[in-house]
Amino acid sequence: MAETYDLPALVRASAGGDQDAWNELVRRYAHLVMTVTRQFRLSPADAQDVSQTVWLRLVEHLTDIREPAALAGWIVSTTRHECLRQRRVAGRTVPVDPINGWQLDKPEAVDIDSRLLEAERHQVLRDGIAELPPDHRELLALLSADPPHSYAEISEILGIPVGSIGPTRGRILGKLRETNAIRTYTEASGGAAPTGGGRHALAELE
Amino acid sequence: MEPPRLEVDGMPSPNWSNDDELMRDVGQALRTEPVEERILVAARAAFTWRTMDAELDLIGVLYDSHLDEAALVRGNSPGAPRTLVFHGDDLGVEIEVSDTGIEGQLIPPGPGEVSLLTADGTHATVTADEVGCFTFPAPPRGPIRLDCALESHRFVTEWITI
Repeated sequence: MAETYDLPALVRASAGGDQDAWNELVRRYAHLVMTVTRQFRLSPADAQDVSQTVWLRLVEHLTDIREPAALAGWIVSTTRHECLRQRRVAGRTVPVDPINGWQLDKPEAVDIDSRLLEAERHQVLRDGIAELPPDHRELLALLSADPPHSYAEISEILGIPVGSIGPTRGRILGKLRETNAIRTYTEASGGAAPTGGGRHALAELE
Repeated sequence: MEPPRLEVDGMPSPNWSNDDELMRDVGQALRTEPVEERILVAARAAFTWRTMDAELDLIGVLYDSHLDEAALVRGNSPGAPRTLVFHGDDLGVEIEVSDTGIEGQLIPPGPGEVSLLTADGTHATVTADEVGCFTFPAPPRGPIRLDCALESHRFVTEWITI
């Protein structure tokens, strides 16, 4: 039943020892950790070490998390920090240019920032979608499939009239904007609903 | 009229009040590739440490030479030993990690027992001498932590990948 928990409930349940709630946190956020590590071009083994360290750290900090909405930001900054450490460890065995090889040069840093913001936006959307009822999640998934399903196919799969798919899509997107995940995010990134983004990704929890 | 678009680091922010733009972002968010199973398995297993963390004092990293830009400027090569200091209110542990192993000292200096723990639960225990010095052979790769039992206190360090 963990899938129906909202984020604060999942964090509270995990802190209280509920393995299912923890597994659900892993399911929701493992992708965010992976997306961040990928920006640092670590080897697969190093990326795996970073991921495991981040999750072990989160176990340590579960009871300190007062604002669950900031979890994505905490995960991004912790992962990023561990990637920076890991780069230096990798430098022990991989030949590198002593001037440029193991310093984070500025243009790349900017690139990483914008990719992290994008990864966080995607995470926020997945969190928002997780708050929607199953049939709404299903329609969004079908509309997002690659290659895309036609409205006729979707109509057949879900047993709803073709003519209702467009209006239903609009209604579901409206509900998505009203989810806690997306409202918290848009408020935290400047209050103005029309623009996402912002510096929220790098906010610390403590 | 459309409100002006804010830009972050030169990248336009998405306009989520527009259905098509929101749907495009939803599609990207849902199509991102799944995480490898072994990474998920390790992440789920991390939870088994929860009870230990709840019981013992946890001490964080105060200093890491790998994150010290000044040490880099001084020309420490990638092969140089890495220094890590874990410090709490009045106790902690300092370690130097090299290819050959870990040398450390308890703070305040004094005798004790130190265990090196890995994420899968294996550990090695050594005795710290009268000034708190101890040595471990090089551990397997992956996250580790130290469980330090001094005469009057016991604490664990936070996890660190070495």
